[in-house]
Amino acid sequence: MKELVKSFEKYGEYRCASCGCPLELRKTDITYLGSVFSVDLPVCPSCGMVFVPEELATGKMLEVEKILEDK
Amino acid sequence: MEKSTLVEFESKCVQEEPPRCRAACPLHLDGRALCEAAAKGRFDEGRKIIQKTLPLPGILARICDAPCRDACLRREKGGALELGALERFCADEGPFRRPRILVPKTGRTAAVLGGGISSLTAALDGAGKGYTVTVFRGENSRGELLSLSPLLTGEMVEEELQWMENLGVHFLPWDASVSPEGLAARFDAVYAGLDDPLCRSFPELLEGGDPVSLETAVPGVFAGGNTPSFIFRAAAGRRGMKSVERFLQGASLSSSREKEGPYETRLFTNIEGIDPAPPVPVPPRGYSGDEAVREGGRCLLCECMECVKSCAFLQHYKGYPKKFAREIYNNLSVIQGTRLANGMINSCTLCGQCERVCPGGFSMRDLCRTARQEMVLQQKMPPSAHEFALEDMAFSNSQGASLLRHDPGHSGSAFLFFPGCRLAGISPRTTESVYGHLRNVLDGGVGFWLRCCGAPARWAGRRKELETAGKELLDQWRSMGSPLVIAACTSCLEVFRKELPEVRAVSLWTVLQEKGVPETVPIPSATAALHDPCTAAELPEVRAAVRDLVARTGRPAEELPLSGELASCCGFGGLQECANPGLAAKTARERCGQSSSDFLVYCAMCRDLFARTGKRTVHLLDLFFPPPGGAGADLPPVSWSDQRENRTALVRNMRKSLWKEEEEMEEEEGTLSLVMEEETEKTLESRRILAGTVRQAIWHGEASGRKIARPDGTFVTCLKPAAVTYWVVYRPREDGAFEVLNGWSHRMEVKGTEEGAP
Repeated sequence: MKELVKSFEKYGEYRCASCGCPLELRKTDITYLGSVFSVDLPVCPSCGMVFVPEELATGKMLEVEKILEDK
Repeated sequence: MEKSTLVEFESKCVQEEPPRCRAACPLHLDGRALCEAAAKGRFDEGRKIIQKTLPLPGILARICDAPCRDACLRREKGGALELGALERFCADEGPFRRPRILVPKTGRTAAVLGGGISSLTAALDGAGKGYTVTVFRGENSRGELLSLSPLLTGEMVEEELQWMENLGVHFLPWDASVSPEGLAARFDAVYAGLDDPLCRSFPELLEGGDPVSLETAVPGVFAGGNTPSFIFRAAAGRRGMKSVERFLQGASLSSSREKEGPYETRLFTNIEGIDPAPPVPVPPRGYSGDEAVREGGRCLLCECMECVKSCAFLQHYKGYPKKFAREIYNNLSVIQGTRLANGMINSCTLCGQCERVCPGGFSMRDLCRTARQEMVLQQKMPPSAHEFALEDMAFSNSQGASLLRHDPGHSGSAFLFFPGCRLAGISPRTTESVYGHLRNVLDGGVGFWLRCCGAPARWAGRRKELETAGKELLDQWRSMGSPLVIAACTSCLEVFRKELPEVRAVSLWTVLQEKGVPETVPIPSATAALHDPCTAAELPEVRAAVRDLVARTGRPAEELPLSGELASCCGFGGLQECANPGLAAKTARERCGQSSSDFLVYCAMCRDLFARTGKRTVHLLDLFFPPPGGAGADLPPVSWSDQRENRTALVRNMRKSLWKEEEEMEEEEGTLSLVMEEETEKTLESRRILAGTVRQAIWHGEASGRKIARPDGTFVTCLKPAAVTYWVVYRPREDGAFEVLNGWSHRMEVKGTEEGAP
């Protein structure tokens, strides 16, 4: 997971279209079926818009969703 | 689920019942396992199986008279297994290595009269129960054992007797003072083996004994084994010592002993298609290793597995219904921990084939549907399992995708055509043509009713949603004057018949059979196999109508091995395709593999699922309402996005052309033009991201400005219309269209993505 988050640094090249700020990694809460996790995600420092990268959504996130759904 | 419900389900599955040989053996030697080991040349394994069941294995394995032969199913296919010869080979091939198990002494004493097989078995079993056992035998009892068969040697007999002594069995000589009454007074209980002539000299042991408990007229004395069969002599000894145990415990001597001796097993084994093979002859010296391997290989390894043989779902989860029933019961009982069977419960197609092929009528459909309903009630149903289908159901009933009208120009309807969501989505052209034809051939007005029948809610175990849908359906049907519903889809018809019996409904196929079809083009394939949808399995009149209609094309279709009432699902039913798309594709491939011919189907969903596997599949309606330029065998599958768009377009077109209704203004986002490569389209389809959702996301991204700019000039935006958050990568084009480059989704909620959602 650490390596995955580290790889998110490349999204620093992405910019929030409305604020013009480059995205920065920030602790963000993600929740599902009552469980809460804190993950570093690329976020617009000005408006707070969060970006969820494809590799996270289709990888670790999907895995955790399935585990939680079977609890 | 109540424990009693589990037990009721379990009792219907016979897979765990013993094979015939084992049930017929009075000692219940597992002949199937022995043959399996022998076939692999694992004779050490064979000896373990023998010594686990047979007392005195060094003797009995060589002289067993194998009453199992009469029960062996191989008898009907070349001749019964030579199990006796296999036992003998195992015994000759190597030594029995019995582990010595120390049994705590109970302080009870048992006397055993006689030195024959029956007595020695009783003595061994008594020692195994922790009794202090004393055997009273005649002085020539060794010789008598040896004389039972020329296959026995003094060494073999000695080894067995030595083993008994090692276990602590005492041997005392028989003298004139020995009598049943006298021993009964000195010991806690007595067993007399009547295969020893000395024991038969007591008339009180021979008369009036109870055949179940072997109780004699003398209290505390049990006797049996007066039979020519060696294995039955041993079985009597075992039964007698069990009675001694019950007697000493003060338990009933007769209850629940039905399965102690030979009995008839409930195990069903299908021997259709098995080639006959005669037994490997047994030479006087016994089998060689090679002969034993060949004879073991003749065993049918009896098992049922009838339902598993033809069901990709049951095969995938590697088991059989009785095992699954326990897993499902445990799954529903989990309070804290992982519910391991959720995936299995939601992957059944609910087609009911298992129930129809099972000798006991086990229904995985009933079991999985009950489990799904219970999971929904417990709020433990994984949200992702059926959400896509339930959303599609809601969409089908939305204003733009549903329609209820009387026949144009009529104020009432004698009939109401119900095409169903799948036909309308996959082939709107056929839907319109069929409706036109019905209006031509039926009098009294044919209304049009497009909406969902509620099958997805029923399959998903959502009773509440199903009841709501049922109420809406009833209200709408009554508002049309309760006309006769003509359902094009057998799944819809099943829902009407099972859930809304008040609604009079018939199949489109029986109407076409009676009223005729406008034209027929021949089946466009050299050979075609007719595939019945699973929901037609219980609709014989529909299947007959379809066969009659197929005959009218002038070229009969071949029947698949499992068709008619044994038909199974294409992979769509029970929402298998929704909950487990990979397995659904496998189900469809297996179904298609049943014949190399092209398929002829009469369910729109079957057509689409088979077409996705690359199978050339024609929908029967395409032979009577042919598409321009062919009969439909090469029509591509229709994506979920296109099915939705087809349905809204169908509603729009029909309202305009038939009922002359003005088109309402579309939402602007609906007009947004998308461009994407085939590969992207496939990715989005497999991730169940619909074109409509993509359009909505881009529309909102552009309107609100909430989007992320990537260095390559493309944008990413997200949308969370309900539970799922969707991400879309796109590029605005100069012509005003949007090029879609990628898309993904997640269910976890991320703070900071919700804003800007509609």
